[in-house]
Amino acid sequence: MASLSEMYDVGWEEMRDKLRKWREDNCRNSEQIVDVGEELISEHASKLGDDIWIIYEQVMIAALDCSRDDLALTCLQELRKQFPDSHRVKRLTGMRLEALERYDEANKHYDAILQEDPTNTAARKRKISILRAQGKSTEAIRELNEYLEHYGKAAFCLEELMMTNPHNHLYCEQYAEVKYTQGGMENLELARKYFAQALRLNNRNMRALFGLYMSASHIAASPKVSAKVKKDNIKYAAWAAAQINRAYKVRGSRSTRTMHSSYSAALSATESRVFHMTLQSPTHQLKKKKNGFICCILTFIRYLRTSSHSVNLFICIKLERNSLPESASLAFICKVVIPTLVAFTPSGHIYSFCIKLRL
Amino acid sequence: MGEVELSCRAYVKMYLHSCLFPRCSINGLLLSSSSAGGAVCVTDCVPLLHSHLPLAPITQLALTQVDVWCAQTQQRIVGYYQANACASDCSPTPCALKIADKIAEQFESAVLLMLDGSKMSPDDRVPPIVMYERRDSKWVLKDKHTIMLRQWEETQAIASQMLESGDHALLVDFDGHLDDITKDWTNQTLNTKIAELSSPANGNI
Repeated sequence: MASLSEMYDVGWEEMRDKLRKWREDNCRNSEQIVDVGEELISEHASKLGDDIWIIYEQVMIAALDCSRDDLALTCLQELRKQFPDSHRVKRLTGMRLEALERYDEANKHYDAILQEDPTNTAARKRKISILRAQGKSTEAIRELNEYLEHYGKAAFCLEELMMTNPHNHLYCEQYAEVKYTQGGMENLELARKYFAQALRLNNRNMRALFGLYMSASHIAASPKVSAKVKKDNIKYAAWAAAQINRAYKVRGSRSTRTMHSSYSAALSATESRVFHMTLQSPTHQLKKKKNGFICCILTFIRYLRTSSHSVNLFICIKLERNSLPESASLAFICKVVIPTLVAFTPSGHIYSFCIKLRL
Repeated sequence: MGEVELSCRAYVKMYLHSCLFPRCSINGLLLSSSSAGGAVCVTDCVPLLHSHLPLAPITQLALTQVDVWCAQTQQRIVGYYQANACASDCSPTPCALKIADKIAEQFESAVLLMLDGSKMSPDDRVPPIVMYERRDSKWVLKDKHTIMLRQWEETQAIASQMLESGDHALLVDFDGHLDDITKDWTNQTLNTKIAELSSPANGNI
């Protein structure tokens, strides 16, 4: 079988640099690391200098991930020879035992490390991983809390993570998701704020965008909020919806784009009592979008049938620059939208209709 | 309750989804394109998440979007599948039960499918599936004889073959779509590939 360097025409320096990049980015692409690392070690060991030891460690861990115990053992033996008393190498020995599911031996190993060095965090973390792998999650959580208290850190990991990594939009967004899931008005408001913060840190984070839309819609739909809060949240939701639509238009592939036009409206429909349907349609696509639009009206109606409350229906039609003349779109609304709604909605369910044409 | 049939396409995609993220818990929805009544025929599946399964916003979003897509393509959501990160544990998590309950509200004969990670090697003869159905507001194990996989050996062979040739990297789940919205979570390319691999005599969709 041809070697990687032959197949892809890369030199050993590039392979070494690739491994370094994966190390720095903490990537877990173990199959790739094994492929590149194995070849590097077997063919170019002499050229690597002192880098070889950290590469041995990286390849060993990747090999364990891919069930390549042969390769893992080779790397481990080289490391043991070079660093006979190292705790770091002892931890690797423990990891190999874990991979072989010899958990009791692995635990003994880590306990030995902790006896010599009680502050060794790596060994503690491995012990917790063993509990998780054995399915003992309650014990794992208990150990984790002890470990966190031991270092004087807060029990709420994400808050801690956010404080120490204020520029990481992922932690922000994850925290927002947790708050959203917890539910309740206070948590929803927090969720919305953190989704917004995540967006400020990275304006392409789709999850944060959808999250902002959903939390704002939920707040706006709640009967307990003041009129001002309602108004503000409708604005936020509308902004988010516009951004989502734009993102799909600009970046979405054809298949996702046609789907998205209809479900952005359906999203509004199933989320809040103030329904905000946005139809953006370049002229020639109106026919196609019509079907999509009808579909989302039907979803909306299905929702109405199952819900017990009446709704305010807000239809906001936004026209693009070179799109339909107003008369055509107005005709569309009169001939298609309204009759469909009236025909299929249980009477008494829509109590106000407001159609805004935005140019 | 009734019989459930699992098509080749649905099984292969579930299998590839779990192989693509071997260290994470994964979940997804089971769809059917045949009309209600009689046996439930699972013809397709949509892989959803591989991270933070119990968190609500993205799950809600995904359910809504899949629902709308189903309405457009004359399909319906008939079940939910999940594979836990811990391969030896295939019991349904509270979040799995919650989502399955939601689906059962819309479709009475909904099924909850757990993939058994310890039985997924090509040497295993039996499908690595544990199915639950809803009886008296609780999820109970379904009788194995009511679960049908037509041409199981062929399906298993297709799944292994696609895994070997690295096709599982083509699979896009909803999480992946949110990371890069140009990717198609309906997996049309993969569907075509699976159809090509199944023999012409196999009438399954």
